[in-house]
Amino acid sequence: MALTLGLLSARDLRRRLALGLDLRTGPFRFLIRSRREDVARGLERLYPDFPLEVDGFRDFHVRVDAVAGLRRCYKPQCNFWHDEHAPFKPLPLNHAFPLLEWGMNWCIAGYAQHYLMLHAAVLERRGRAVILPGDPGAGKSTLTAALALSGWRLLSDEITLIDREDGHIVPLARPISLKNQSIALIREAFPEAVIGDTALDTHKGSVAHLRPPPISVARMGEKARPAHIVFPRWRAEATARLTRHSKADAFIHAATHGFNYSLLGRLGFELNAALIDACACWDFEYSRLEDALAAFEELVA
Amino acid sequence: MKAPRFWRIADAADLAWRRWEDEYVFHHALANDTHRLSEPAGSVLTQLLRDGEVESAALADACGLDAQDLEAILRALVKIDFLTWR
Amino acid sequence: MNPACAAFLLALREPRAMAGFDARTWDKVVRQARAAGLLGRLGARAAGFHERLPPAVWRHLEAALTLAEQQCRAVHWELAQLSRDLEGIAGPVVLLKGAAYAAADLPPAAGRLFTDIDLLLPRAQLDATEAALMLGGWISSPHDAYDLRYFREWMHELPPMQHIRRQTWLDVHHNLLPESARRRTRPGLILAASTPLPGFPRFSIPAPVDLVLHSATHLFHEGEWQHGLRDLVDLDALLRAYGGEPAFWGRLLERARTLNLGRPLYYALRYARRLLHTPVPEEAIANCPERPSSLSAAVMDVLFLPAFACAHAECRGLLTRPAAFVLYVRSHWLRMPLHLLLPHLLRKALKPEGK
Repeated sequence: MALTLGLLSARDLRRRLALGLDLRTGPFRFLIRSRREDVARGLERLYPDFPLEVDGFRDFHVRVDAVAGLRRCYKPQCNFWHDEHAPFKPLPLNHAFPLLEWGMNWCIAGYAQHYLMLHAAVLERRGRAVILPGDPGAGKSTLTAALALSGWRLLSDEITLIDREDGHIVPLARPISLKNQSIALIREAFPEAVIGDTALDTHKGSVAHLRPPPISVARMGEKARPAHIVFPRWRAEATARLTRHSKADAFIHAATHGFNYSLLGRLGFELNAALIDACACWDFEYSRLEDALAAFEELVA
Repeated sequence: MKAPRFWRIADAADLAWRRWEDEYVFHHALANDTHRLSEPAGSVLTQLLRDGEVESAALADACGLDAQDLEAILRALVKIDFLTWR
Repeated sequence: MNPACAAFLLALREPRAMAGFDARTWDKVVRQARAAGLLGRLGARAAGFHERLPPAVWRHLEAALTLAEQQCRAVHWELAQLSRDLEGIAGPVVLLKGAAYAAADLPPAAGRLFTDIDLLLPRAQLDATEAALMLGGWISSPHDAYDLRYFREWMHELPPMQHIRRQTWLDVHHNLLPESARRRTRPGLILAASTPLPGFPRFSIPAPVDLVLHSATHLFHEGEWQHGLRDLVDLDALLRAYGGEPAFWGRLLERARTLNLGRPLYYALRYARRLLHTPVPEEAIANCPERPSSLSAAVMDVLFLPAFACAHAECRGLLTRPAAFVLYVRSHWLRMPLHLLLPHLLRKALKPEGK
């Protein structure tokens, strides 16, 4: 059986993390280095089911650590490095774990031009994938978390990867990033959910990550066929309702909110067009999570 | 100024397109621009892609557009480097 | 050369060798190539036999190749637009480096990444060109008064311009070397020998010998050492493409003498041969104008060889950082006299965010 992160003792995990923890998520291998205790704790809580690998080719060599220098005495900070390069400005030291998550997203979004990458969550049930492109504040992450905790297979929370060979969706199965009120909301609706430390006052407000369901991680090597694109919108008191969304608009939305549509040129157009051809496109308004879950169930019935 | 007469797809414009319901999405490969176009504009382009060079009046007939609407569409398509004329 | 770099250089010299690399070697080579800006180049060279590379590795190479192909496409479109903007400018407008390779589809273009479009035109056309470009939507990036004076009085180019909508960067040169440089060359001869491009009649490209001489001059006179190896790879591709014709080498040396660019050519030939095994005839090295003494060549070896490898930590030896610094100072030393150089470096050092 393959070694998973959760099988390491607390001490072994920290020892390996200091040297380089070789973790697989979907098609990518990350060699993660950090001496931060909160990073070790975050990985321990949220990534126990992910396989560890040994040696060979790693897609990304990343590191999150405290920033050296005078500043650390009065306002300690941490930063993220991809290889030797630090793409972000340093953050307060206690944001080290979310910084690792953002950094990993940055690596994929910046370098995985092999895929068409949409800024969207994606989940699968009964062999059919549903893409949620939601804009910020649309309640996309809450909905993604609720679906993942209700039997849907989580493929990805932030980046939807479309395979350039067959147009299918390639899973990442990484933790779901919850923001502000949705942290308490998910805790309340799903008391069994495993949620990591909350980082306060980040540029996105309060942020905490949800552990992906073990079955989603176990199946992260299986691609999924796209079937629906749903633009969710949470509105107080709204009755759950699916209405048709213009396909041309869905195309433009996916293109302009994607990470690399433009960069792929004609290939981007063809992949995006094949996706829109394959999917029914919907607007979805809702206020109660239970109603939303029922409506999504019907989509793949 | 008299309106130009013969219209065709610009030489540099390698166009790909899709139609969904009554809307079109066109991609100009060399400029790498994507445009969402209405039914009339899309039908003008697909007509020219099929027939090569077409004279204004024939184009208006084929697409069921009056001369004024066609003129506005053609100007917009020239502006985004999709069309050219002589 | 640091042994960690050997596999990477081997991949550049003999692309087929990539099929034999193990995963552990790739773990270093992909990072070195990315840092050196040569990942797309490896992708282009491996495309014919990519099924023999590990799929995870090919994904990265193909991704970089995709990016390079898009940039090449963007340059073609940009030149079509620029042709309109520059319609009224008299005299040749010559494309340099990446844009020239891409527009004429020359060997260095395959998988090459670039950051801007470089133009060379007669100094007398500079003001008219700048005005025409501004009408076309190109704007100079904001510079303070010192920077403006630096460009206007001492440099060989206008401050970089960017297109307001398409975001492309444009460098307009009127010379290959700064006005303040110790070495003087004759850009008028390069303009005169350029030939119009079939696909883009508004633009010309330099004669083959001038392409090589400009690439060599750029490499050894600019301080961009993170791109040093990439520039050497360009040179290697040009020399392999043109060098097969026996008359080429004589013409190249003659042209170097005429343009007063013998020294940079000497170093270009020396290091292309040393690092990339470029087939350079012995007589070409021996007869190169301005050939340095063997002592000064040995000193330059100590500086240049590690600097070519400085893009990634895996390749860096103990000497690399000091060598890169010395070369940085050297590139400025070549660009301006001391009474300009010292205040300039001091100013760059004190400025909070270096340009």
